[in-house]
Amino acid sequence: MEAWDLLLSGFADALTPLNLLLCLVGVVLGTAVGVLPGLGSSMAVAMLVPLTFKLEPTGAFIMLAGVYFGGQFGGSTTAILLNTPGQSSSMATAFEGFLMARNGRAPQALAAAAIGSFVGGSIACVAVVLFAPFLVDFALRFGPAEYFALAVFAFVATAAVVADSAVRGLIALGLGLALGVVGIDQQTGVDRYTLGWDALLDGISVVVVTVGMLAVGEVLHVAARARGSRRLQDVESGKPWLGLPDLRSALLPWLRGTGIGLPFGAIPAGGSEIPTFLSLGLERRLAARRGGSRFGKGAIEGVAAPEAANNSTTAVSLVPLLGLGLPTSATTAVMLGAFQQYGMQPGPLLFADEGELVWALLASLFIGNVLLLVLNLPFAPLWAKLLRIPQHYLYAAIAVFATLGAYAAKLAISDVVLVYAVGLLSFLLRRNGVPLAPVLIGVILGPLAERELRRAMALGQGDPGVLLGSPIAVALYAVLAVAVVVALLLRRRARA
Amino acid sequence: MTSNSSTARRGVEHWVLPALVIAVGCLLVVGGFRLPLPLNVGYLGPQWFPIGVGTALIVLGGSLPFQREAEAEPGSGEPEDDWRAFGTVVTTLVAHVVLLTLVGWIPAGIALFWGVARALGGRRGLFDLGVAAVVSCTVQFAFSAGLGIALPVGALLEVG
Repeated sequence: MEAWDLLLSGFADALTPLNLLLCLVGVVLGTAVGVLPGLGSSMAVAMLVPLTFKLEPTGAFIMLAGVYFGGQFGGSTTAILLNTPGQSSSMATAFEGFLMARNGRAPQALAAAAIGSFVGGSIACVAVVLFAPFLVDFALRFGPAEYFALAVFAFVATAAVVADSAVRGLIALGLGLALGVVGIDQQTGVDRYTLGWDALLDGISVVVVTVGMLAVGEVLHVAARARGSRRLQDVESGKPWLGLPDLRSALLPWLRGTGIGLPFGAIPAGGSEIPTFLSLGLERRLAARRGGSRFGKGAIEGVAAPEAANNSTTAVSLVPLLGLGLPTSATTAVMLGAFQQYGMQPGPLLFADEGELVWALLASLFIGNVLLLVLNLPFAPLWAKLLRIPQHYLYAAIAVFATLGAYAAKLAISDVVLVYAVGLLSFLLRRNGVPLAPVLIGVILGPLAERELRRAMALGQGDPGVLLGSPIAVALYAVLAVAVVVALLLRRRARA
Repeated sequence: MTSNSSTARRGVEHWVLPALVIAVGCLLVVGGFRLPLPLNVGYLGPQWFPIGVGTALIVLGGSLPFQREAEAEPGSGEPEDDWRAFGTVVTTLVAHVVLLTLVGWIPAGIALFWGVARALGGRRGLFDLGVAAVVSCTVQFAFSAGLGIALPVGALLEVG
């Protein structure tokens, strides 16, 4: 059991006072942005990336992972108490959770969600530890053709499957790829599309694109919508505790939700929205078959299962991120950008070159999960009070931190101009219902895809057949075709 | 706002994105063919990937107007557009960049925070200005003392 030894040494690294503190800061920040509607963990991670440059990479990634996990935990709190999901991944929880809250069972709903997140996250972390080394062994056999196939896989899956309309998703992807080709070409030294502006020679940094897309665009988007700021009602507090009957009815949904969430973390299906709705639907059908279904009246199963699914998807999504360099959601795309900023390329070599970092990061996931349970189980109603921060201060602060984030990466005012321009583009995309995640995937994976494509062509002496010359690449394209069909069917079912 | 003017605006808005997408596509294709190529281009030169992306964008941009309307965001209802607030934010961002180059972070940060807060419904002008000043100065301190990152001082003050 080599993995366990490595994990144990990871725990030794993650349990230093500084790393523990960073993990705590991460999960607290993550919970906060998770609670607040409109702020997602992807935006929070994007704005934190430039501010963590001064940290050791290990500490920085422990903190970023804490934000990612915390966001998934926190989103359920406001979904249950106010029917306002803090993140799209908590939309499924809102249905039964809010009904429970209206029937005076808010504490039980919050507890079922928090424990469900914990169960899902922890089981999935074990799966990550067991599975990641296998994936790494497999990925060591990858050459340019395979990496290109992998990038195509990510492009098609995020752009054509997850988006409501394939045309809009592909437009988003194309714009991301276009942003990615700006700057000096690595292989030939030709400067491409810099329009004579020296600031563009280094390319448009990933930080600028992610912060502009997610943060500046959100500020503009919120400004353009008339403000119907609703007054928030008082949140009743109470001991979030589960009685034996509640525990009994939540136990199996926690496990089933975890099981549904696990495979979705490994495929680029846009995060945990689909598995949460799938597990909600499954519990509803199971309850109807058992008879005496409480769905529609506040069923605890309808909170327990989606939250477990949500967090198991979140944890497993780190397997393709770390093992292959393949982001499966907007947040993991931003984290991949963060790795690139540190000069690391996630993939099989990461485990060899940066083994200490990877295992400390994995160990910190377990620690983060425990911290989140402690933070969320007793204090969930307190977190909901965050909604009382006046909206205009919140967004003003986002504007300030987005600007700083863009500036701090290269200490260049030109990056501030660029981040605002990207923000305007993001606003235009949002207004037209174009998804943002494919833009991020395009700008982050585009340069890699192009590099590997050109390497493969060089290896094949210009023969495009080399792209289909390896069984792994062919298998990836085949899996992609099946995944597209299956995901389309699942999505249709999840919506119905 | 009458329904007439809002549909007219919607109409204009509908053409901005396809136009932009096609323009970016053309830029990629035309720029790609005009790249000054070195001798060591290898088998797939630096121009072909962007040209491919550009071609796809032109096709996609052209087909965008024929797509069905995007579904409204869940839960957003039918919000009225508030172009004044949007304009205020854009003006604030422009002002921030100008101030940042001229007089440095603290005044520029105050303007940024205050402008966005005002656009989004802050109505307590002086109090908001105080909050903006506190945020801007705190950030300046945290960055220079904590992270060791120097924020811009501004061209005017640097000379003087």
